[in-house]
Amino acid sequence: MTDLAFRSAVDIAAGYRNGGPSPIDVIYDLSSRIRQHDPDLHAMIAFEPEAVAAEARLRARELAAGTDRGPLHGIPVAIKDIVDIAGTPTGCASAATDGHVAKADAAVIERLRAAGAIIVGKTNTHEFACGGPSFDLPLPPARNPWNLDHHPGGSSSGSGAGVAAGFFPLAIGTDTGGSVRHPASACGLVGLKPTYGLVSRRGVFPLAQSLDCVGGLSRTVVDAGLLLNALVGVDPGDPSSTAAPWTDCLSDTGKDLSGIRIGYVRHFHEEDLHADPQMAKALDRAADLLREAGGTVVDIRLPPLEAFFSVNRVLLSSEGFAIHAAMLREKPEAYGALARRALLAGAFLSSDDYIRAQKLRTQLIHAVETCFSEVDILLSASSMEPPSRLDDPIETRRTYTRQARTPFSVTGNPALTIMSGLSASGLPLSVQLAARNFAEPLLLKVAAAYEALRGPLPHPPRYA
Amino acid sequence: MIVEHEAVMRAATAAGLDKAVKAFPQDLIAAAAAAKAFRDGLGGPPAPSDEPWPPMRVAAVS
Repeated sequence: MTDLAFRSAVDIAAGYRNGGPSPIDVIYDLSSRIRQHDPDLHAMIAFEPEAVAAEARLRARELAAGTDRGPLHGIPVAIKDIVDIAGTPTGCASAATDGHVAKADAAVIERLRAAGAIIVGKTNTHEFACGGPSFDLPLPPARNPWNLDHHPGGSSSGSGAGVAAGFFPLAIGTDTGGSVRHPASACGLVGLKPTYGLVSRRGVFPLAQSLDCVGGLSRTVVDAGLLLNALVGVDPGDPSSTAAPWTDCLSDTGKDLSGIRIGYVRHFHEEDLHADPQMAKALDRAADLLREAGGTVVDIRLPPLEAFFSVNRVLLSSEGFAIHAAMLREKPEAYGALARRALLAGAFLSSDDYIRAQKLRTQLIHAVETCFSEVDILLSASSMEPPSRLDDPIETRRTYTRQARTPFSVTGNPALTIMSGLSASGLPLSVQLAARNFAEPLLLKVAAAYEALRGPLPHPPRYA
Repeated sequence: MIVEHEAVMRAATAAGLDKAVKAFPQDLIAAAAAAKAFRDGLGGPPAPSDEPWPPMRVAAVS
Protein backbone atom coordinates (compact mmCIF):
# COMPACT_ATOMS: atom_id res chain seq x y z
CA MET A 1 0.00 0.00 0.00
CA THR A 2 1.42 3.40 -1.02
CA ASP A 3 0.67 6.49 1.03
CA LEU A 4 -1.83 8.42 -1.03
CA ALA A 5 -4.27 9.12 1.74
CA PHE A 6 -3.78 12.82 2.25
CA ARG A 7 -2.89 13.88 -1.26
CA SER A 8 -5.11 16.61 -2.58
CA ALA A 9 -7.29 16.09 -5.62
CA VAL A 10 -4.98 18.47 -7.48
CA ASP A 11 -1.91 16.35 -6.64
CA ILE A 12 -3.66 13.07 -7.48
CA ALA A 13 -4.79 14.51 -10.82
CA ALA A 14 -1.28 15.74 -11.61
CA GLY A 15 0.06 12.28 -10.86
CA TYR A 16 -2.31 10.70 -13.36
CA ARG A 17 -0.84 12.87 -16.08
CA ASN A 18 2.87 12.61 -15.28
CA GLY A 19 3.48 8.96 -14.48
CA GLY A 20 2.32 8.90 -10.87
CA PRO A 21 -0.11 6.44 -9.31
CA SER A 22 -3.07 5.56 -11.56
CA PRO A 23 -6.75 5.68 -10.57
CA ILE A 24 -6.46 1.95 -9.89
CA ASP A 25 -3.55 2.52 -7.46
CA VAL A 26 -5.35 5.36 -5.72
CA ILE A 27 -8.57 3.41 -5.26
CA TYR A 28 -6.67 0.34 -4.05
CA ASP A 29 -4.91 2.46 -1.44
CA LEU A 30 -7.99 4.32 -0.28
CA SER A 31 -10.13 1.18 -0.22
CA SER A 32 -7.58 -0.44 2.08
CA ARG A 33 -7.81 2.53 4.43
CA ILE A 34 -11.58 2.45 4.46
CA ARG A 35 -11.62 -1.29 5.21
CA GLN A 36 -9.04 -0.85 7.96
CA HIS A 37 -10.44 2.22 9.71
CA ASP A 38 -14.13 2.54 9.00
CA PRO A 39 -15.23 -0.12 11.50
CA ASP A 40 -14.27 2.44 14.20
CA LEU A 41 -15.04 5.67 12.34
CA HIS A 42 -18.44 4.82 10.79
CA ALA A 43 -17.99 7.38 8.02
CA MET A 44 -19.47 5.04 5.40
CA ILE A 45 -23.00 3.79 5.01
CA ALA A 46 -22.36 1.96 1.75
CA PHE A 47 -19.01 1.00 0.27
CA GLU A 48 -18.59 -1.67 -2.40
CA PRO A 49 -14.87 -2.06 -3.16
CA GLU A 50 -15.37 -4.14 -6.31
CA ALA A 51 -17.73 -1.64 -7.90
CA VAL A 52 -15.41 1.23 -7.01
CA ALA A 53 -12.41 -0.67 -8.40
CA ALA A 54 -14.30 -1.28 -11.64
CA GLU A 55 -14.99 2.44 -11.92
CA ALA A 56 -11.29 3.14 -11.33
CA ARG A 57 -10.31 0.72 -14.11
CA LEU A 58 -12.73 2.47 -16.47
CA ARG A 59 -11.29 5.90 -15.65
CA ALA A 60 -7.73 4.57 -16.04
CA ARG A 61 -8.58 3.08 -19.45
CA GLU A 62 -10.09 6.37 -20.54
CA LEU A 63 -6.96 8.29 -19.55
CA ALA A 64 -4.73 5.74 -21.28
CA ALA A 65 -6.84 6.11 -24.43
CA GLY A 66 -6.46 9.89 -24.34
CA THR A 67 -9.95 10.69 -23.05
CA ASP A 68 -9.32 13.28 -20.36
CA ARG A 69 -12.49 14.53 -18.69
CA GLY A 70 -10.72 17.27 -16.75
CA PRO A 71 -9.44 17.96 -13.24
CA LEU A 72 -11.76 15.50 -11.50
CA HIS A 73 -11.02 12.61 -13.86
CA GLY A 74 -10.29 9.60 -11.68
CA ILE A 75 -10.69 11.57 -8.44
CA PRO A 76 -12.54 9.71 -5.64
CA VAL A 77 -15.62 11.52 -4.34
CA ALA A 78 -17.93 10.20 -1.61
CA ILE A 79 -21.62 11.04 -1.45
CA LYS A 80 -23.87 11.83 1.51
CA ASP A 81 -26.60 9.23 1.83
CA ILE A 82 -29.45 11.58 1.02
CA VAL A 83 -28.24 11.90 -2.60
CA ASP A 84 -29.57 9.48 -5.22
CA ILE A 85 -27.19 7.15 -7.03
CA ALA A 86 -29.09 5.08 -9.58
CA GLY A 87 -29.57 1.46 -8.53
CA THR A 88 -28.45 1.97 -4.93
CA PRO A 89 -30.48 2.68 -1.80
CA THR A 90 -30.87 6.27 -0.62
CA GLY A 91 -31.33 5.38 3.01
CA CYS A 92 -30.99 8.84 4.61
CA ALA A 93 -29.61 6.88 7.59
CA SER A 94 -33.19 5.99 8.46
CA ALA A 95 -35.34 2.92 8.84
CA ALA A 96 -38.22 5.05 7.53
CA THR A 97 -36.96 4.93 3.93
CA ASP A 98 -37.58 1.17 3.90
CA GLY A 99 -34.81 0.27 1.44
CA HIS A 100 -35.83 2.80 -1.22
CA VAL A 101 -33.60 2.31 -4.27
CA ALA A 102 -32.93 5.33 -6.48
CA LYS A 103 -34.09 5.00 -10.07
CA ALA A 104 -31.83 7.73 -11.42
CA ASP A 105 -28.69 9.64 -10.53
CA ALA A 106 -29.08 12.98 -8.78
CA ALA A 107 -27.99 15.98 -10.85
CA VAL A 108 -24.73 16.26 -8.89
CA ILE A 109 -23.93 12.60 -9.57
CA GLU A 110 -24.57 13.12 -13.28
CA ARG A 111 -22.18 16.06 -13.24
CA LEU A 112 -19.53 14.19 -11.24
CA ARG A 113 -19.69 11.23 -13.62
CA ALA A 114 -19.43 13.56 -16.62
CA ALA A 115 -16.33 15.06 -15.00
CA GLY A 116 -14.84 11.57 -14.65
CA ALA A 117 -14.99 11.37 -10.85
CA ILE A 118 -15.03 7.98 -9.14
CA ILE A 119 -18.05 7.64 -6.86
CA VAL A 120 -16.62 5.96 -3.77
CA GLY A 121 -19.82 5.22 -1.86
CA LYS A 122 -22.39 6.65 0.51
CA THR A 123 -21.42 8.51 3.66
CA ASN A 124 -23.10 8.63 7.03
CA THR A 125 -25.48 11.45 7.93
CA HIS A 126 -27.84 12.53 10.63
CA GLU A 127 -31.20 10.91 9.89
CA PHE A 128 -32.76 12.82 6.98
CA ALA A 129 -30.02 15.43 7.51
CA CYS A 130 -31.54 16.69 10.76
CA GLY A 131 -31.64 15.92 14.46
CA GLY A 132 -28.15 15.01 15.59
CA PRO A 133 -25.80 12.09 16.20
CA SER A 134 -28.10 9.20 17.11
CA PHE A 135 -27.57 5.75 18.54
CA ASP A 136 -31.06 4.45 17.70
CA LEU A 137 -30.67 4.33 13.91
CA PRO A 138 -29.83 1.37 11.62
CA LEU A 139 -26.14 2.36 11.85
CA PRO A 140 -24.15 4.10 14.60
CA PRO A 141 -23.15 7.75 14.11
CA ALA A 142 -19.86 8.76 12.50
CA ARG A 143 -17.04 9.72 14.82
CA ASN A 144 -14.43 12.46 14.68
CA PRO A 145 -11.06 11.33 13.26
CA TRP A 146 -9.23 13.74 15.58
CA ASN A 147 -10.68 11.96 18.58
CA LEU A 148 -13.15 9.12 18.19
CA ASP A 149 -14.92 10.14 21.39
CA HIS A 150 -15.99 13.40 19.78
CA HIS A 151 -18.70 14.51 17.37
CA PRO A 152 -17.60 15.03 13.74
CA GLY A 153 -20.30 17.64 13.19
CA GLY A 154 -23.33 17.21 11.07
CA SER A 155 -25.44 16.51 9.36
CA SER A 156 -22.88 15.60 6.65
CA SER A 157 -20.95 13.77 9.35
CA GLY A 158 -19.57 10.85 7.35
CA SER A 159 -18.46 13.12 4.53
CA GLY A 160 -16.46 15.18 7.01
CA ALA A 161 -15.06 12.22 8.92
CA GLY A 162 -14.07 10.40 5.73
CA VAL A 163 -12.24 13.33 4.13
CA ALA A 164 -10.43 14.11 7.41
CA ALA A 165 -9.37 10.46 7.83
CA GLY A 166 -7.91 10.34 4.33
CA PHE A 167 -10.54 7.99 2.90
CA PHE A 168 -11.09 10.30 -0.09
CA PRO A 169 -10.06 13.86 -0.98
CA LEU A 170 -13.57 15.12 -1.72
CA ALA A 171 -17.09 14.49 -0.50
CA ILE A 172 -20.54 15.82 -1.19
CA GLY A 173 -22.65 17.15 1.66
CA THR A 174 -25.78 19.22 1.99
CA ASP A 175 -26.29 22.40 3.98
CA THR A 176 -29.66 23.67 5.24
CA GLY A 177 -28.53 25.32 8.47
CA GLY A 178 -24.79 24.63 8.30
CA SER A 179 -24.56 20.90 7.60
CA VAL A 180 -21.56 21.14 5.27
CA ARG A 181 -19.74 23.77 7.31
CA HIS A 182 -20.31 22.13 10.70
CA PRO A 183 -18.47 18.88 9.88
CA ALA A 184 -15.81 20.90 8.07
CA SER A 185 -15.29 22.94 11.24
CA ALA A 186 -15.34 19.90 13.52
CA CYS A 187 -13.04 17.78 11.36
CA GLY A 188 -10.53 20.45 10.29
CA LEU A 189 -11.54 20.75 6.63
CA VAL A 190 -12.72 23.21 4.04
CA GLY A 191 -16.50 23.18 3.71
CA LEU A 192 -18.16 25.24 0.99
CA LYS A 193 -21.86 26.05 0.87
CA PRO A 194 -22.38 27.69 -2.50
CA THR A 195 -24.85 30.42 -3.31
CA TYR A 196 -28.42 29.14 -3.00
CA GLY A 197 -29.50 27.78 -6.38
CA LEU A 198 -26.02 27.46 -7.86
CA VAL A 199 -25.88 23.66 -7.56
CA SER A 200 -28.92 21.58 -8.50
CA ARG A 201 -30.69 19.63 -5.77
CA ARG A 202 -32.55 17.32 -8.13
CA GLY A 203 -32.33 13.83 -6.70
CA VAL A 204 -31.39 15.00 -3.20
CA PHE A 205 -33.85 14.13 -0.43
CA PRO A 206 -35.05 17.55 0.77
CA LEU A 207 -34.98 18.87 4.30
CA ALA A 208 -36.25 22.42 3.67
CA GLN A 209 -36.32 23.50 0.04
CA SER A 210 -36.05 27.23 0.61
CA LEU A 211 -32.75 26.63 2.45
CA ASP A 212 -31.24 23.42 1.03
CA CYS A 213 -27.88 23.65 -0.78
CA VAL A 214 -25.52 20.95 -2.04
CA GLY A 215 -21.90 21.65 -1.11
CA GLY A 216 -18.50 20.05 -0.85
CA LEU A 217 -15.93 19.06 1.75
CA SER A 218 -12.22 18.93 1.02
CA ARG A 219 -8.84 19.33 2.69
CA THR A 220 -7.74 22.32 0.59
CA VAL A 221 -9.33 25.43 -0.83
CA VAL A 222 -8.33 24.67 -4.41
CA ASP A 223 -9.90 21.23 -4.15
CA ALA A 224 -13.11 22.90 -2.96
CA GLY A 225 -13.02 25.04 -6.10
CA LEU A 226 -12.38 22.09 -8.40
CA LEU A 227 -15.38 20.30 -6.96
CA LEU A 228 -17.62 23.34 -7.23
CA ASN A 229 -16.58 23.91 -10.85
CA ALA A 230 -17.80 20.41 -11.64
CA LEU A 231 -21.11 20.80 -9.80
CA VAL A 232 -22.25 24.19 -11.04
CA GLY A 233 -24.85 24.29 -13.79
CA VAL A 234 -28.42 25.25 -14.53
CA ASP A 235 -30.88 22.40 -14.15
CA PRO A 236 -34.55 22.70 -15.13
CA GLY A 237 -35.18 19.82 -12.71
CA ASP A 238 -34.52 22.11 -9.75
CA PRO A 239 -36.92 25.09 -9.63
CA SER A 240 -34.35 27.14 -7.69
CA SER A 241 -31.48 26.46 -10.09
CA THR A 242 -29.65 29.58 -11.24
CA ALA A 243 -26.83 30.17 -13.70
CA ALA A 244 -23.42 31.17 -12.39
CA PRO A 245 -22.00 34.37 -13.87
CA TRP A 246 -18.61 32.68 -14.18
CA THR A 247 -17.17 29.50 -15.65
CA ASP A 248 -14.19 28.94 -13.33
CA CYS A 249 -14.36 29.76 -9.64
CA LEU A 250 -10.58 29.32 -9.43
CA SER A 251 -9.86 31.97 -12.04
CA ASP A 252 -7.91 34.09 -9.53
CA THR A 253 -6.21 32.48 -6.56
CA GLY A 254 -3.44 35.05 -6.31
CA LYS A 255 -2.43 35.63 -2.70
CA ASP A 256 -2.46 39.45 -2.83
CA LEU A 257 -5.65 40.76 -1.24
CA SER A 258 -4.91 44.45 -1.90
CA GLY A 259 -8.12 46.35 -2.52
CA ILE A 260 -10.31 43.69 -0.92
CA ARG A 261 -12.40 44.86 2.04
CA ILE A 262 -13.12 42.33 4.74
CA GLY A 263 -15.80 42.90 7.38
CA TYR A 264 -15.04 41.18 10.68
CA VAL A 265 -18.32 40.21 12.38
CA ARG A 266 -17.02 40.16 15.93
CA HIS A 267 -20.35 40.52 17.67
CA PHE A 268 -21.39 37.01 16.62
CA HIS A 269 -18.78 35.48 18.95
CA GLU A 270 -18.12 38.35 21.37
CA GLU A 271 -21.66 39.62 22.16
CA ASP A 272 -24.41 37.45 20.67
CA LEU A 273 -22.61 34.34 21.89
CA HIS A 274 -19.35 33.99 23.76
CA ALA A 275 -16.91 31.75 21.98
CA ASP A 276 -14.28 29.57 23.55
CA PRO A 277 -11.21 31.83 23.95
CA GLN A 278 -9.21 29.57 21.64
CA MET A 279 -11.79 30.05 18.89
CA ALA A 280 -11.85 33.82 19.47
CA LYS A 281 -8.07 33.97 19.29
CA ALA A 282 -8.10 32.00 16.04
CA LEU A 283 -10.53 34.52 14.57
CA ASP A 284 -8.36 37.49 15.57
CA ARG A 285 -5.37 35.71 14.08
CA ALA A 286 -7.31 35.17 10.84
CA ALA A 287 -8.10 38.89 10.68
CA ASP A 288 -4.39 39.64 11.15
CA LEU A 289 -3.42 37.22 8.37
CA LEU A 290 -5.94 38.72 5.95
CA ARG A 291 -4.45 42.17 6.70
CA GLU A 292 -0.99 40.72 6.15
CA ALA A 293 -2.15 39.55 2.73
CA GLY A 294 -3.06 43.12 1.85
CA GLY A 295 -6.77 43.10 2.70
CA THR A 296 -8.46 45.93 4.57
CA VAL A 297 -10.15 44.46 7.65
CA VAL A 298 -12.83 46.49 9.44
CA ASP A 299 -15.35 45.59 12.12
CA ILE A 300 -18.89 45.36 10.83
CA ARG A 301 -22.27 44.58 12.37
CA LEU A 302 -25.02 42.29 11.11
CA PRO A 303 -28.37 41.64 12.84
CA PRO A 304 -28.03 39.48 15.96
CA LEU A 305 -27.41 35.76 15.54
CA GLU A 306 -30.66 34.87 17.30
CA ALA A 307 -32.71 36.45 14.51
CA PHE A 308 -30.95 34.36 11.86
CA PHE A 309 -31.17 31.22 13.99
CA SER A 310 -34.88 31.61 14.72
CA VAL A 311 -35.73 32.25 11.07
CA ASN A 312 -33.66 29.26 10.01
CA ARG A 313 -35.30 26.96 12.53
CA VAL A 314 -38.89 28.09 11.84
CA LEU A 315 -38.39 27.61 8.09
CA LEU A 316 -36.52 24.33 8.50
CA SER A 317 -39.04 22.89 10.95
CA SER A 318 -42.08 24.01 8.94
CA GLU A 319 -40.81 22.86 5.56
CA GLY A 320 -39.33 19.68 7.04
CA PHE A 321 -42.60 18.77 8.70
CA ALA A 322 -44.46 19.34 5.45
CA ILE A 323 -42.14 16.84 3.76
CA HIS A 324 -42.33 14.24 6.52
CA ALA A 325 -45.88 14.75 7.81
CA ALA A 326 -47.40 11.71 6.10
CA MET A 327 -44.63 9.39 7.35
CA LEU A 328 -44.70 10.88 10.84
CA ARG A 329 -48.45 10.26 11.02
CA GLU A 330 -48.19 6.73 9.64
CA LYS A 331 -45.01 5.35 11.21
CA PRO A 332 -43.41 7.68 13.74
CA GLU A 333 -41.64 4.70 15.25
CA ALA A 334 -39.51 4.36 12.12
CA TYR A 335 -37.61 7.54 13.01
CA GLY A 336 -34.88 7.93 15.58
CA ALA A 337 -35.79 10.13 18.52
CA LEU A 338 -33.67 13.14 17.51
CA ALA A 339 -34.98 13.43 13.95
CA ARG A 340 -38.53 12.72 15.12
CA ARG A 341 -38.36 15.56 17.64
CA ALA A 342 -36.73 17.95 15.17
CA LEU A 343 -39.30 17.28 12.46
CA LEU A 344 -42.31 17.26 14.78
CA ALA A 345 -41.51 20.83 15.83
CA GLY A 346 -43.08 21.91 12.55
CA ALA A 347 -46.43 20.54 13.71
CA PHE A 348 -46.49 23.25 16.39
CA LEU A 349 -45.71 26.17 14.09
CA SER A 350 -48.48 28.03 12.28
CA SER A 351 -48.78 29.63 8.88
CA ASP A 352 -48.41 32.93 10.72
CA ASP A 353 -45.07 31.79 12.15
CA TYR A 354 -43.87 30.68 8.73
CA ILE A 355 -44.83 33.93 7.01
CA ARG A 356 -43.33 35.99 9.85
CA ALA A 357 -40.10 34.07 9.42
CA GLN A 358 -40.07 34.72 5.68
CA LYS A 359 -40.73 38.42 6.25
CA LEU A 360 -37.94 38.64 8.80
CA ARG A 361 -35.77 36.76 6.33
CA THR A 362 -36.30 39.57 3.81
CA GLN A 363 -35.07 42.10 6.36
CA LEU A 364 -32.04 39.96 7.18
CA ILE A 365 -31.20 39.59 3.49
CA HIS A 366 -31.38 43.37 3.06
CA ALA A 367 -29.15 43.88 6.10
CA VAL A 368 -26.50 41.52 4.74
CA GLU A 369 -26.76 43.07 1.26
CA THR A 370 -26.18 46.48 2.84
CA CYS A 371 -23.05 45.17 4.52
CA PHE A 372 -21.83 43.88 1.19
CA SER A 373 -22.03 47.40 -0.19
CA GLU A 374 -19.36 48.31 2.35
CA VAL A 375 -17.18 45.19 2.28
CA ASP A 376 -16.42 42.34 -0.14
CA ILE A 377 -16.03 39.46 2.32
CA LEU A 378 -17.30 38.72 5.81
CA LEU A 379 -15.13 36.99 8.41
CA SER A 380 -16.90 35.36 11.34
CA ALA A 381 -16.95 32.38 13.63
CA SER A 382 -18.39 29.10 12.43
CA SER A 383 -18.52 27.01 15.63
CA MET A 384 -18.14 28.65 19.01
CA GLU A 385 -16.08 25.84 20.47
CA PRO A 386 -14.27 22.64 19.47
CA PRO A 387 -16.50 19.60 18.85
CA SER A 388 -18.36 18.10 21.79
CA ARG A 389 -18.10 14.56 23.10
CA LEU A 390 -20.46 12.12 21.42
CA ASP A 391 -21.44 10.61 24.76
CA ASP A 392 -22.63 14.01 26.02
CA PRO A 393 -25.96 14.60 24.23
CA ILE A 394 -26.78 17.71 26.26
CA GLU A 395 -23.52 19.43 25.32
CA THR A 396 -23.84 18.24 21.72
CA ARG A 397 -27.35 19.67 21.54
CA ARG A 398 -26.09 22.95 23.02
CA THR A 399 -23.41 23.30 20.35
CA TYR A 400 -26.10 23.15 17.64
CA THR A 401 -27.33 26.53 18.84
CA ARG A 402 -23.84 27.93 19.43
CA GLN A 403 -22.74 28.57 15.87
CA ALA A 404 -22.78 31.30 13.24
CA ARG A 405 -23.57 29.26 10.15
CA THR A 406 -27.31 29.88 9.93
CA PRO A 407 -26.99 33.53 8.77
CA PHE A 408 -25.79 32.51 5.32
CA SER A 409 -28.26 29.64 5.06
CA VAL A 410 -31.02 32.19 5.65
CA THR A 411 -29.66 34.75 3.19
CA GLY A 412 -28.39 32.30 0.56
CA ASN A 413 -24.90 33.80 0.41
CA PRO A 414 -21.95 31.53 -0.29
CA ALA A 415 -19.98 30.66 2.84
CA LEU A 416 -16.88 28.64 3.53
CA THR A 417 -15.37 27.30 6.73
CA ILE A 418 -11.71 26.46 7.02
CA MET A 419 -9.49 25.01 9.73
CA SER A 420 -7.55 27.62 11.65
CA GLY A 421 -5.57 25.46 14.04
CA LEU A 422 -5.90 22.99 16.88
CA SER A 423 -7.20 23.48 20.40
CA ALA A 424 -5.17 22.56 23.46
CA SER A 425 -6.99 19.23 23.45
CA GLY A 426 -6.02 18.55 19.83
CA LEU A 427 -9.39 19.28 18.23
CA PRO A 428 -9.90 21.51 15.18
CA LEU A 429 -10.60 25.23 15.36
CA SER A 430 -12.13 27.05 12.41
CA VAL A 431 -13.18 30.35 10.87
CA GLN A 432 -15.89 31.23 8.37
CA LEU A 433 -15.78 33.48 5.30
CA ALA A 434 -18.82 34.61 3.32
CA ALA A 435 -19.30 36.60 0.13
CA ARG A 436 -21.93 38.26 -2.03
CA ASN A 437 -24.19 35.93 -3.96
CA PHE A 438 -22.32 34.25 -6.83
CA ALA A 439 -18.98 35.68 -5.64
CA GLU A 440 -17.48 32.21 -5.11
CA PRO A 441 -14.35 33.15 -7.12
CA LEU A 442 -13.57 35.96 -4.66
CA LEU A 443 -14.50 33.80 -1.67
CA LEU A 444 -12.07 31.11 -2.78
CA LYS A 445 -9.35 33.64 -3.55
CA VAL A 446 -9.53 35.06 -0.02
CA ALA A 447 -9.74 31.60 1.51
CA ALA A 448 -6.71 30.47 -0.51
CA ALA A 449 -4.73 33.50 0.65
CA TYR A 450 -5.67 32.75 4.26
CA GLU A 451 -4.77 29.08 3.83
CA ALA A 452 -1.35 29.97 2.41
CA LEU A 453 -0.49 32.37 5.23
CA ARG A 454 -1.91 30.06 7.90
CA GLY A 455 0.42 27.36 6.67
CA PRO A 456 0.06 23.59 6.64
CA LEU A 457 -1.66 21.87 9.53
CA PRO A 458 -1.32 18.27 10.69
CA HIS A 459 -3.71 15.46 9.83
CA PRO A 460 -5.52 13.47 12.53
CA PRO A 461 -2.69 11.54 14.24
CA ARG A 462 -4.56 8.25 14.28
CA TYR A 463 -4.74 8.25 10.48
CA ALA A 464 -1.63 10.23 9.44
CA MET B 1 -39.20 25.66 28.37
CA ILE B 2 -42.58 24.81 29.87
CA VAL B 3 -45.39 23.79 27.55
CA GLU B 4 -48.79 22.58 28.66
CA HIS B 5 -49.05 18.81 28.19
CA GLU B 6 -52.74 18.57 27.35
CA ALA B 7 -52.58 21.46 24.90
CA VAL B 8 -49.64 19.86 23.13
CA MET B 9 -51.47 16.53 22.83
CA ARG B 10 -54.59 18.26 21.52
CA ALA B 11 -52.58 20.14 18.90
CA ALA B 12 -50.78 16.95 17.89
CA THR B 13 -54.06 15.07 17.56
CA ALA B 14 -55.48 17.90 15.46
CA ALA B 15 -52.40 17.55 13.22
CA GLY B 16 -53.17 13.84 12.71
CA LEU B 17 -50.32 12.65 14.89
CA ASP B 18 -52.41 10.19 16.94
CA LYS B 19 -49.77 7.48 16.77
CA ALA B 20 -47.11 9.83 18.06
CA VAL B 21 -49.46 10.96 20.85
CA LYS B 22 -49.76 7.34 22.00
CA ALA B 23 -46.17 6.24 21.49
CA PHE B 24 -43.99 9.35 21.81
CA PRO B 25 -45.62 11.97 24.03
CA GLN B 26 -42.26 13.14 25.35
CA ASP B 27 -41.03 13.78 21.81
CA LEU B 28 -44.10 15.89 21.17
CA ILE B 29 -43.48 17.89 24.34
CA ALA B 30 -39.87 18.46 23.29
CA ALA B 31 -40.92 19.42 19.76
CA ALA B 32 -43.54 21.87 21.02
CA ALA B 33 -41.01 23.47 23.37
CA ALA B 34 -38.53 23.84 20.50
CA ALA B 35 -41.21 25.38 18.27
CA LYS B 36 -42.10 27.88 21.00
CA ALA B 37 -38.45 28.89 21.38
CA PHE B 38 -38.07 29.34 17.62
CA ARG B 39 -41.29 31.39 17.42
CA ASP B 40 -40.25 33.58 20.35
CA GLY B 41 -36.94 34.28 18.60
CA LEU B 42 -38.74 35.90 15.68
CA GLY B 43 -39.69 38.92 17.77
CA GLY B 44 -42.78 41.05 17.28
CA PRO B 45 -45.19 40.98 14.35
CA PRO B 46 -43.90 42.52 11.10
CA ALA B 47 -45.57 45.35 9.22
CA PRO B 48 -48.63 44.03 7.34
CA SER B 49 -47.30 45.45 4.08
CA ASP B 50 -44.03 43.46 4.24
CA GLU B 51 -43.88 40.96 1.41
CA PRO B 52 -42.81 37.41 2.27
CA TRP B 53 -39.64 36.07 0.70
CA PRO B 54 -39.25 34.86 -1.97
CA PRO B 55 -41.74 37.20 -3.62
CA MET B 56 -44.30 35.79 -6.02
CA ARG B 57 -43.29 36.38 -9.64
CA VAL B 58 -45.48 35.60 -12.61
CA ALA B 59 -43.95 33.92 -15.60
CA ALA B 60 -43.61 35.77 -18.88
CA VAL B 61 -45.97 34.70 -21.67
CA SER B 62 -44.34 34.47 -25.06
